[in-house]
Amino acid sequence: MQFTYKLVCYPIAFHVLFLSFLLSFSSKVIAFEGNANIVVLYPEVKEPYLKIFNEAIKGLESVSNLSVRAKSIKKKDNVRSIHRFITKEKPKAIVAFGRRSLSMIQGMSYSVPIISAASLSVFKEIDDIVMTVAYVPDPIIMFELLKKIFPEVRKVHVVIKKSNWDWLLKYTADKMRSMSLSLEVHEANSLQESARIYRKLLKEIKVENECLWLPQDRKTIDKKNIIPMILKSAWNKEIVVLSSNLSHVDKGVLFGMYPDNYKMGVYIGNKLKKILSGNEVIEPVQPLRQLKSAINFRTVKHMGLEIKPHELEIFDLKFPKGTR
Amino acid sequence: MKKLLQKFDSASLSRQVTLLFIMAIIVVSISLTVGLSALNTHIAVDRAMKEGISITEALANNSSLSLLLGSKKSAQEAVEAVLTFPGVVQVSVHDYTAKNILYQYGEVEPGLEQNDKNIPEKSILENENSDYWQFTAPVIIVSEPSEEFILEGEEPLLQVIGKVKVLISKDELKTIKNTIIFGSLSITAFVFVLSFFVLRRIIHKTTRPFAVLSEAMLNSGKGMVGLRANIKGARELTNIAKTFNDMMDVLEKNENELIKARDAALEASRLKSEFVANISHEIRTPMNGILGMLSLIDHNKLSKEEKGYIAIAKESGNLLLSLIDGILDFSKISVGKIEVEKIELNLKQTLENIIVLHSNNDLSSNLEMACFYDPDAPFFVLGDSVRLQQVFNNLIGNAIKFTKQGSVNVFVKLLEKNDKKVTLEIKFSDTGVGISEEFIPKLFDAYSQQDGSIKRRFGGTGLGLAICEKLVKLMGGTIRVESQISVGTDMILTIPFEYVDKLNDQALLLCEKINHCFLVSTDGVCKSALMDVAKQFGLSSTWSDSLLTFREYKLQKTSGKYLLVLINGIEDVDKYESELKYLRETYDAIIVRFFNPVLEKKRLTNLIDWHMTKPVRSTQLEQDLLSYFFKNGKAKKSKEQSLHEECKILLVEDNPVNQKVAKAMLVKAGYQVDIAMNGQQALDKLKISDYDLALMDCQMPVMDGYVATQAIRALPEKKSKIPIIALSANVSAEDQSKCFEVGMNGFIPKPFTKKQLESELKKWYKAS
Repeated sequence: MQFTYKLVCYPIAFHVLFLSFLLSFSSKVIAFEGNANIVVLYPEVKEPYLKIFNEAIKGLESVSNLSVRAKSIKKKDNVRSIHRFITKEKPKAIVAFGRRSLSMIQGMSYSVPIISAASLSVFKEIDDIVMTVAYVPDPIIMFELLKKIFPEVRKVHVVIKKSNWDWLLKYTADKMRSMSLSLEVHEANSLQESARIYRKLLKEIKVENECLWLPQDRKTIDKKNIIPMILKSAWNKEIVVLSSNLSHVDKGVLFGMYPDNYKMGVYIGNKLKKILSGNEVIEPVQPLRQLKSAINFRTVKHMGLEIKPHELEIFDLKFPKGTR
Repeated sequence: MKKLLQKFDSASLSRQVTLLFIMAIIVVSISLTVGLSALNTHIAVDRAMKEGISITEALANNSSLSLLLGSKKSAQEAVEAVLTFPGVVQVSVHDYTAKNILYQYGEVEPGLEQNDKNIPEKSILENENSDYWQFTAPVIIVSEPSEEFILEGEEPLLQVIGKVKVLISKDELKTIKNTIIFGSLSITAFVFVLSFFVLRRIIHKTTRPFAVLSEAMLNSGKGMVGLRANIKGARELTNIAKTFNDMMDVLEKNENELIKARDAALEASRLKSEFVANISHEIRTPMNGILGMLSLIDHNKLSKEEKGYIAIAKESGNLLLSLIDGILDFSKISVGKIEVEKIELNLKQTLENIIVLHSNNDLSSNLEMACFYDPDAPFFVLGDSVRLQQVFNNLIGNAIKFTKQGSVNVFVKLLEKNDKKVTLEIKFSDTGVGISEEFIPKLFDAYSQQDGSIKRRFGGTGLGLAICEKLVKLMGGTIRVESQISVGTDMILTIPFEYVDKLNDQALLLCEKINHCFLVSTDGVCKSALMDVAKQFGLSSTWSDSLLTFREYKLQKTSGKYLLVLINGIEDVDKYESELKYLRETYDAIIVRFFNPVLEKKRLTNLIDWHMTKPVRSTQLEQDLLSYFFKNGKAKKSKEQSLHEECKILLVEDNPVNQKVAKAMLVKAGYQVDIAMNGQQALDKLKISDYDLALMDCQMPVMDGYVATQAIRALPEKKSKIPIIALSANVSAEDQSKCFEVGMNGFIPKPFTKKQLESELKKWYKAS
């Protein structure tokens, strides 16, 4: 009896010990296999902007095995209070929406991966940022849609402050090679420069195969002066204009793309799981690919573009409002 | 300002209230006009400035694209939009980046500083003067927040790319200001005029009852009767009116009662006066007969005893007459029937005559009597001679009555003098029995005498002093007494007179003739009297108590001038015959001796120029001296005597007793007398005969004296001029006045004495 007991128990004990040993070296794996505690930081804003974060968080929460603890950063909050929060939560990862969230964890070392999202620019000050999902629609996706609407297009003009958008331009230029499409970048460092470039550009652009892309660059675009000037010329000359800003489409730009916040959240959640699983981040800075599209039918009709019905169905928003 | 206030105070209530309301409206209107104008102007200015800023801001907004593009055309378009606003004179768009003016319209206003370097943070009024505002606004490009800015936590990006300037004229504002002011004034004026007419009507209606009430009161004050205030209005006014009406009822009732009482009193007074007048006449007429007859009998040859009886009867009659006169006078004075006259009289002479009259009546008592007259006091004054004599008579009579030995003197002193008036103190001083201190307060009460013993010893009714006091009061004077028992009494009158400034020329004439006076008197009173005489004449004098000492004075002889020697009281004057001879030989002397004819005789009439009875009378002496120097005195007397025998008198008297009395007196005096029973007879006799004088009774049947006199004055010239002397028992001033008014020349009251008759007749002889 004694011998049988020993024969059965000892191997069991050995396996348990072994597995424990293994687990101690791969806590992440073991942890991943449970719910990973994720802290999501986002700035306290009012509607409709709050909707961005709420949808993104829902997206995050929809991803399995993630336990999301969201914290809105109020005006009274400071680095210390956020630090206390994070320390208390002991997250496996942190998702920081917006620059304000990032500034709250700047200088603190949490030894967990941090994903920066819903931000226009790259925050280089935090080393623990493993991935930045810029809140900038991926131009390539826009251009792919452009090709469907405006197949003759060969060149896309953009007026932009290069220094702010260097990473995006590089990314775009690389990807556009395979699309038989070229990107002409016109640099402007101020609105005045931009205005003059646009004026010249609008005069010289070849409407048959060139179009104008309006980026999210407030240094080169303003809603009150430049946009109306562009739209007026575009209307008069039937210039195809696309924008990374949804509000421009409402004003008369042919079409544009805008973030799908929920899907962004899902994407981030999945990415996070992979990161927590030990996968390497391939694209540390990337534009937003979870997008919705909007089109202005009036502009379509004015310009005489032929868009097939099934192609029109892909657009999420149609302007003017009420258009089906 | 004072005059305006006085005018306001004297204006009617309606006008005062209207004026006050008008002033209030004016003040309120002006205040409102000024206030509202200022407020509206301020609002207009504020609005214009806000408009200016809005225009500038709009230009700035519209210029943003032009500045971004650097497009002048674009800037011009924006500027042209602004130029449509009224008042915009000059506009400029400034490029901050290029540091130049992108576009400019109009000329810059000199005097307004141009600050081109600084760009304001917001639209402001950069500068202004009286004619322009200069606004400036930055051109700002705002990159408005969108989703990404919220996410980034960044604020909207503001870029200042330039500025705009707009110069706006204030002309429109000025026009608005003027319109506001003019409008306010017009409305104010309209409201003022409207209010004026409305208020005036309301005020008039409200204050009308006051005017009605006031008028009723005024008319009542003027004496109109039956006036009542019948007004409707405020309760207080109707109460006042009711009270006024009630008051008027009471006043008119009282007035009626007073009128009745007055009429009754007047009637009673009239009856009293009538009674007094009638009684006076009824008593005097028989008294005239009694006293006249006694006077006539007295001139017959009677035994001593019979003369004594007559004297007693005469005295009793005179006493009765004076008693009646006193009672009647007192009665008249009490009812205010006596009036004092103001006729020129010689006060000194009047006093001396009364002294003479009383001294002649009492020469046997050997009382010294004299009148001492202040040389600064005027002789001639305006006064009631009759009443003054009445007072003087009474006082001197009393003094003599109560003084057995010593003196009774009159002192006249000047108390006060100005251009037209003098105040004289006339003191009647005696050395009589005196008056006790306890009785002095009652001295002037009617019917009062010191005690029963006085009445028994001295008689009298007690009316004399009461009458004197009342008469002196009527003259505006006062009377008081100072007395000591067994020492004497001073009766002091203080009377104001108007005086006649007549120069005593006659005294000057005497000074030309007389060099010096030598006075001889052993008696103190006479000494003073003589010295007073010398002073009155303006002559130097030397006194001695004896003529024997004359030579010791070694008086100088002056050629062409006399030495006047006045001698008094020398009992044995014969002792001084040699002295008198010396005087006559040595000097051109006039020697006059004063004597008491009862106690003394005329002596040494060859050495003494003439004798004068005491008391010393300066006026009489003056007349005698003047006669001595300038007329033949003795020839004058004989002339008077012969005139009497030629004079034919018409006696007009209805009463047989009075006829007999008067005729007897006149015949004894040496006059021819014819009698008429009434005025008509007198007229008939005058038509056929010539008379030198008529004595006319006033109360007669058929034709009374007044009518007869008027008829006589209507006769042909020679007959009409006959002197007519009234004989009347009615002695009141009115009766006397009436006599003179109808044309009579003189007045003799009844009963009259022979002396009175002769004196009055002499006057008319002197006049003729």
